[in-house]
Amino acid sequence: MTSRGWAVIACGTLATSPVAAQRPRALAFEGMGASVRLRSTSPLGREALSGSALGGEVRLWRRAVILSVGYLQATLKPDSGSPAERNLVEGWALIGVRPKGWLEVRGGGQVRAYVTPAGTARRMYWEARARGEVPLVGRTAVAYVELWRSLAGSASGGDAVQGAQGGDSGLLVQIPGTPWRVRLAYRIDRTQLRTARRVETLEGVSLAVGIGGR
Amino acid sequence: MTRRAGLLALVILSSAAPRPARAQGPADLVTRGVQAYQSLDYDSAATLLRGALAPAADAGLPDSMRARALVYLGATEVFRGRRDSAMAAFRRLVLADPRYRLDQLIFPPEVSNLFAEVRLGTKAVSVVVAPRTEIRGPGDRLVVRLYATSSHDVAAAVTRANGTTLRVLYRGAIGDSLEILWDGRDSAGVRADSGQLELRIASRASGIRATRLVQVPLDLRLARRDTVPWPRPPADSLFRPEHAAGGSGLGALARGGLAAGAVLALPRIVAPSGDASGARFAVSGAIALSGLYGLLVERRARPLAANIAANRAIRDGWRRGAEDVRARNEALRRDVALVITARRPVATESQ
Repeated sequence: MTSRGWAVIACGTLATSPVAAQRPRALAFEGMGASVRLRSTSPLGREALSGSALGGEVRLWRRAVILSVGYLQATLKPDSGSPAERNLVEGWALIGVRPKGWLEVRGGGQVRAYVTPAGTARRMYWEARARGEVPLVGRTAVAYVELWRSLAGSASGGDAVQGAQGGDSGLLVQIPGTPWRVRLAYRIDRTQLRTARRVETLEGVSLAVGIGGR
Repeated sequence: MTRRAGLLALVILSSAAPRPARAQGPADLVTRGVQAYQSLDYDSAATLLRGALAPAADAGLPDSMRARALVYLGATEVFRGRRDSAMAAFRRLVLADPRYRLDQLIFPPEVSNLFAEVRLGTKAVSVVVAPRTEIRGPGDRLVVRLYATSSHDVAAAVTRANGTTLRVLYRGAIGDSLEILWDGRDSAGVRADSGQLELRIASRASGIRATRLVQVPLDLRLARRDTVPWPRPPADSLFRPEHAAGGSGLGALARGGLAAGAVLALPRIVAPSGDASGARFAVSGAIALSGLYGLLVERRARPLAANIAANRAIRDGWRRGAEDVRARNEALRRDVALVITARRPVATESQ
């Protein structure tokens, strides 16, 4: 399916889906720590870097509409070889709806930057996301799987994003009797750059603590 | 025709048959004795009136008729010149009814004067006690009314079966009548228990010597009020089930397995050519364990909060009712009444 096709599906879902579970206005915060790993392959060779990340996300509901804004920052060090150490900075802003109690559809933009002493390489994605949830222990423990795909993208240095897609899956535990919740998640995404023919794979395991509605 | 004649003869014969003589009861004897007195036939009057007062007949005589017989007998004996017999009749009358007064329009002065002499010379009381008295509160009393033939000293006391005095109620003079009260307690203020007691009223002519003693047997009984029955516990059919049967739990296990599998498959879906790290196994394992825990939780019976609350309301309502009954029964158990049953007074003359 082309990027245009994904865009049509996402916009259609946002515009016309019946809202099964309308929530009142709510606000949620989440702070996370993550271990991330970057693998990059190109005709010039392979790079492997890893490091720890800190980040957070704010979610705002107003009836069925969900707005989320997040930020992540990590320092990546080479696992082997001589790739330059770099900082990973990531930010995203997404808006979406929850047409079913177990289904959430969002779309928006994501910016990722790799900052090295030599310069900063940026990736910009317009993406669509779909997320499904299944209860494991009542509503106390919920597992979720989220997949996303870029609809359009760009890269700095005259390059272009040929395609990007990713996933996020994890376990969300609402601590009974409290507004607190804990999330353990695994994420992975893959970006293909057209000019440099580079493929970047970023994965990580995160542990987050949040408060407020899910 | 023959049948009609037979019937006529039967009627004539039955009407002509002699009637049985009318029975002469004590009341008739009194009436005829009074008529004989009024006809100045004193000997016949005395015979008839004594016949009415004879022990065999006296039992069936009403009190008013007995008093009428005695007063006319006394008057008859006065006119027959038998003063002692007249005094004996009047004394018997006075003892039976100390308040009896002669009608001076009917009887001449020689009769009424002798009656007054006998009355003044007889020191006796009649005792009137209610057949049943219930002493429950501090204001309740056994009321004893004494009617005296003439002014004299009396001593009233409640005694035990062995003759010892439980409580002295009165000791002093009596004129025409006297009312004595007893609160059901002994001289120390302790309430009398169930048992047999006796009310004794001694009339004293002079000094301390009792001339006549009236004894009233008293039966005492402690009566407790009936307690309220304990409320029946609510029937089991009123209670709703408090737990719902647990499910198989396989759904949670399946969902956990699928989600755990999705984590493991995520690198193959998203980045098939990349070499994914083993970190995903930790997340996948956590999800699988959660699914397993969900299996155990779903198999457990689930409490039904609404039913539990409804059942608790039923139990609380029954407990409140039982507590009310308990408090009421405690009050009822404390509320003990002393029931006094007075029997017929018995008078004895001292020699």
